[in-house]
Amino acid sequence: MKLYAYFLMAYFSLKESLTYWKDYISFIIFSVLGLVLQISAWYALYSSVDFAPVMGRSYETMITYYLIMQIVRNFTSADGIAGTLEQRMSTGEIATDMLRPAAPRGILIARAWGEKLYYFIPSILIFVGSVLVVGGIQLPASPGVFAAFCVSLCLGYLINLMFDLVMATFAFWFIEVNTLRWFVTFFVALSGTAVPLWLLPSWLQAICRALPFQAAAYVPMQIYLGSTNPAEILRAFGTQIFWIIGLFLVQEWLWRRGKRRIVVLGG
Amino acid sequence: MIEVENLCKDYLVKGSKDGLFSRGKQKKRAVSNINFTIHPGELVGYIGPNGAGKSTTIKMLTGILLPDGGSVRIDGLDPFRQRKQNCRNMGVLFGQRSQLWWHLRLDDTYRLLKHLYEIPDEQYKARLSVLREILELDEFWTQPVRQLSLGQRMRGELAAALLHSPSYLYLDEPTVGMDVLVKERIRELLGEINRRDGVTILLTTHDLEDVERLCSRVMVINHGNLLYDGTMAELRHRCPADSSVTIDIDGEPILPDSLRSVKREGSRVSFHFSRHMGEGELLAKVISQNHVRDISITEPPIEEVVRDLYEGGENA
Repeated sequence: MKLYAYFLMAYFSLKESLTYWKDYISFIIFSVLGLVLQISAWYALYSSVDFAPVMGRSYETMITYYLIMQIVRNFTSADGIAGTLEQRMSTGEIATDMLRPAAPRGILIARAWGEKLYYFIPSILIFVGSVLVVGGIQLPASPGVFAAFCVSLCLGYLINLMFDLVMATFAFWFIEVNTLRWFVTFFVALSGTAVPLWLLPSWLQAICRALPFQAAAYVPMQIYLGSTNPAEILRAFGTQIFWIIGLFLVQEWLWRRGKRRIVVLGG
Repeated sequence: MIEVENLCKDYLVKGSKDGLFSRGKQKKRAVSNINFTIHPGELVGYIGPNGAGKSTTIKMLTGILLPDGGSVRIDGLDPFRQRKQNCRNMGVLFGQRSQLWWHLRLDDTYRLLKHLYEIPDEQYKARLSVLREILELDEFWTQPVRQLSLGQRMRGELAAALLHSPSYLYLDEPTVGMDVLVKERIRELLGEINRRDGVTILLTTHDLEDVERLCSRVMVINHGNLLYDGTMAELRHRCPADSSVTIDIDGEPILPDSLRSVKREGSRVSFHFSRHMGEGELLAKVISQNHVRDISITEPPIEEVVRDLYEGGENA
């Protein structure tokens, strides 16, 4: 079956990444360091107010936000795709993808999944370790809320996937897309992965709401924390699906135009 | 059948002549109005200096690049617009680029290709065992690809290109960087694949020996223009380069004045002659007028023949 070939590619890509297990060391150090810094900052803040709620959120909610957000971010991110395409364009490896009776974007996505799983394994370990250290986190209010969170998480991944495919197509016009990707990283920081959006001034919140990034990460997080009622959950799904369809159409259009411009570098 | 008609491809070359911000863009024609037809079962050599347009042509035949003009039809298919369909019937090998998974074993790549090309189990097993045998893959079957020598890897690449039993095989410099023995082995294998399965092969190379040993037909390209399309023998005939003759003579040699580049070394006399300039008679004269003990004639190396053609093309 053809679909199985894509699974194999993801698996091989994971297996190839695992030959470089040393990357894990820096990944683990940075993740743990980041968590320690954030949690200690919030601990200091909350202890100064005797653990009373800050802006309506308890200390436990805050910690839950950061720990769950690690999982949300790692699961929904698709930032391997633009990078992979750029790299395959600049080394000319894109040529070997085009020789297969397969969708080049399917190959890209499968390869990116391999790399994603590579980082997902330690991030689960870090998550479990942190939960044990802080002594438990807030759980979803009901199985229904948890199911809605999972659905929203998958939709969030699709938003990021479509967005990254849009970014990736720029590689057809400019061989160097990483600078562009960097610029965009600034906006991704407004997706709620760095700071909960409720802490931002209202004008900045308004900007965030107009961008697709918060729909990918902040929206599932809000559902998890139970800040959304059933009607709002449905509306949130609607917003997510809107972004998926919109970005899908943009990337489809760009891809069709871009692939005519393929140049294969390196002979 | 591969049918190429008035094929063109341009590249935009960014010039830096206009300073930092306004960079002039120049159009460079990589392939210019090329026409040829390759029939099933042919083994065709495609040669030309660096940047002549060989690889660009191959990339258009394989559907990677969209032509800027003209058309390519492979068994009636448009390789760019019907890419996936065309892919199923072609194998490609880029000498400078690997299609194997670098950190994995050979059979991992083959397993993936089996599913990508949807090869039925039975057919896959049979094909793989044939390829393992003729390409002698067993000795390094379980090693990661990164540990293979260039010759071993290239055999692995060939198997990957042939696994789905394609009718067309495009080889872009398959012998680049190989030593003489390995080159010889790869040539034998290509010849065998062509004869055994009737695979149509288009071979791009810098090594003219590849072409001389393997190909019945050769196409020469330079600056995007097809300069020659015909047999190897005809190519030699068309671009007469000098052969060199060495004669071992008893006694004082009697030599006509019109002989060129005469060198004497004891009883040995060597000179150049071109059989296409009516100099055959001259040679006969030398032989009849002297007591010849031994004679040897060295054909001009094919490199010289082709160099003449490249230079001719540049002047034209």
